Amino acid sequence: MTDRSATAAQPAPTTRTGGVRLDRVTKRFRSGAIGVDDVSLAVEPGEFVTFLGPSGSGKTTTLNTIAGFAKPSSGRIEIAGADVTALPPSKRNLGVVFQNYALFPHMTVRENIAFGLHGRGLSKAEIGARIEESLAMVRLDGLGDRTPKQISGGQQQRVALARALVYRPPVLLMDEPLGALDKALRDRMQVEISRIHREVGTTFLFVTHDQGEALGLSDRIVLFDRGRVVQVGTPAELYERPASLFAAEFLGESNVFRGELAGPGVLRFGEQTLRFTGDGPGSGSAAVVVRPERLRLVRAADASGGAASGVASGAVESAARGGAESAARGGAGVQNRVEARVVNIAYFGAFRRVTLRYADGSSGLLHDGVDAPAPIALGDAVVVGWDAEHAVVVPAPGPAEQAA
Amino acid sequence: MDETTRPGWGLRIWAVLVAVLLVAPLLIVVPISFAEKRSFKFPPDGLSVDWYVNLFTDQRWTSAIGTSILVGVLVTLICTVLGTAAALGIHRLGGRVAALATGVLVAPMIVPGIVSAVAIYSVYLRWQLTGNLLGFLLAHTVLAIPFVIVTVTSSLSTTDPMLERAAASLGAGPWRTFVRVTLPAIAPGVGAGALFAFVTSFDEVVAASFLQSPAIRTLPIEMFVSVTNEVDPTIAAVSTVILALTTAIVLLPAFTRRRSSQKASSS
Repeated sequence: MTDRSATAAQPAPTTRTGGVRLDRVTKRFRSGAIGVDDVSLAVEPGEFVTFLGPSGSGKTTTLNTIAGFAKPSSGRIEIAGADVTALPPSKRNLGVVFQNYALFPHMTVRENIAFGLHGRGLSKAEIGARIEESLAMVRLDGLGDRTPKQISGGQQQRVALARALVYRPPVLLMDEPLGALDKALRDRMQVEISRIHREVGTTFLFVTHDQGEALGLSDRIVLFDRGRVVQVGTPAELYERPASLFAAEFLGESNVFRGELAGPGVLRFGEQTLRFTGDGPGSGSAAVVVRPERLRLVRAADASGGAASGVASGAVESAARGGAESAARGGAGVQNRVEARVVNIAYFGAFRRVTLRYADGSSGLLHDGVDAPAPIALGDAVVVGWDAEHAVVVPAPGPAEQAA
Repeated sequence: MDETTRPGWGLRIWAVLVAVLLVAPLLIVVPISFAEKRSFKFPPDGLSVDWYVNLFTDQRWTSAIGTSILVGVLVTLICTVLGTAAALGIHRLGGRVAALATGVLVAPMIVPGIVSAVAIYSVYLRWQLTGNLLGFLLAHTVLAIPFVIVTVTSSLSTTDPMLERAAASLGAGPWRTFVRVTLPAIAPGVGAGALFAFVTSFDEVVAASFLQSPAIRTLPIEMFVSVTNEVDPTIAAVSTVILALTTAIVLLPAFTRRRSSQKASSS
């Protein structure tokens, strides 16, 4: 918060060509609902930045304020160093790719692409050359005379890209551009979009609710929730060091152990003590987050004989004692151990996706690799573990606070 | 399309009966228009084209035809421009104001013709708009504009609203966006609206009968005067010509559409 107000007080430094800068942008709808809530953001020239969030989180509205389709209630927007807050969309010199492509149905592919070249002081020959060049860029050579109805969805997507890039705008905005395509095509277009981004060097702002697209494409991800930016970082930063429970649960899968903080690097989870490294909230309710691929099967419990609870309490004791003893016995060297029950196993080829239920009733996931120590079966009581450095702690409001 | 079930015989007979009931009275004017004698006898005793010759030579009929076409074309132009503009404005406005504006503009379509006509007459009398071209144009514009608004509005509602945003993002100002993107998209609605506007003006008889004077009469008024005052099969000739023209106008789009859809499905 202090950083943000300091930025607002000083005159904003001018951005280099191609950058985008949002300064405390808020969009209040006529209904009174807040679409975008005090968002400040600086996108570097040439960067590929993804706006990620669930629907209604404000990511598209933010994009619309940049494009000029929505007028911010307050705040300032700069594109390539110029204040564009009051400019209409037609004067912002942006490329926009729409979710449903919005190709002009009565024009051919070539005419669609040519539309944005009008009135830019280009000669007929230059216009023709640019069109062919951009058709080649999106690998649609020879389809220039078709109409949008005569080409496939993936090809329409490419035309939309070519149309938005042909006049070489400093910034390209894309609003869920892959949403209408099937899975295989979506994967292919992701690769294509990455390639085109490398080739043209334009700043790309990409809106999606698909975490796979965000992780695979972006230099940086801006995570939105309820109109606010909740975290900005590289895909690895967001995935490995989520700053909130929302970030941890929205991006990727996770095991969440809710409890109370009991000193630096220690969280009490029921009867157990879980250790983590790195910064976290000082006290109060919190949760330790562990990714499924960081979780290891320490010991498959004896399936034969004895009450499951007896096995479980033994595991808890050993886990509570922690440290050297268990490391010596299991040889796994993990610092944290928790007992769980296997409630589902799904085969994924490279690994098995094991759904677990923990003592507090929460469920979690484990990726059981090919080198698993012992076979496990549905209903087994098991002990899973992880290293402190692979756990992240995030603030987690208790049930009462959550309801409020 | 070939898989649709074929109607049974009962339904076919019923359909033919309805068609006969609707169309037969209209078709009776065709033989009468070729009558040899000055009578409305059906079937006529002998055949001739005298009444067609009369229609296109008698100054009374030719001037009425001329007036009707002039009024119709001008009204069509005015209604198409104003109605399209109004529909665009209403579409963009949205909400309660748009509903109110639509209600006011479309009212002449719902209010009984005689009520509009009497109201128009009483006001135009004071404004000295009776018995002249301007009066006809204004009255017919009011009566015909709802058709343009309705057809263009329905076209707009099926047009992708993102097209205008796309045009704007590509640097096109409002005018270029309208001419190159919006208008082509709503052209079918504008065309249908224009056709309806012309037909509305061309066969409007109630308001015209109040506004007419011996100096300016539209074709329906001339026909009305003729059929009430005299026995003149020229009116049957007029009716036949109008029938032929309107049939052609209605069938033309149906035929061209079928051809283009065949082309689309074959490619």
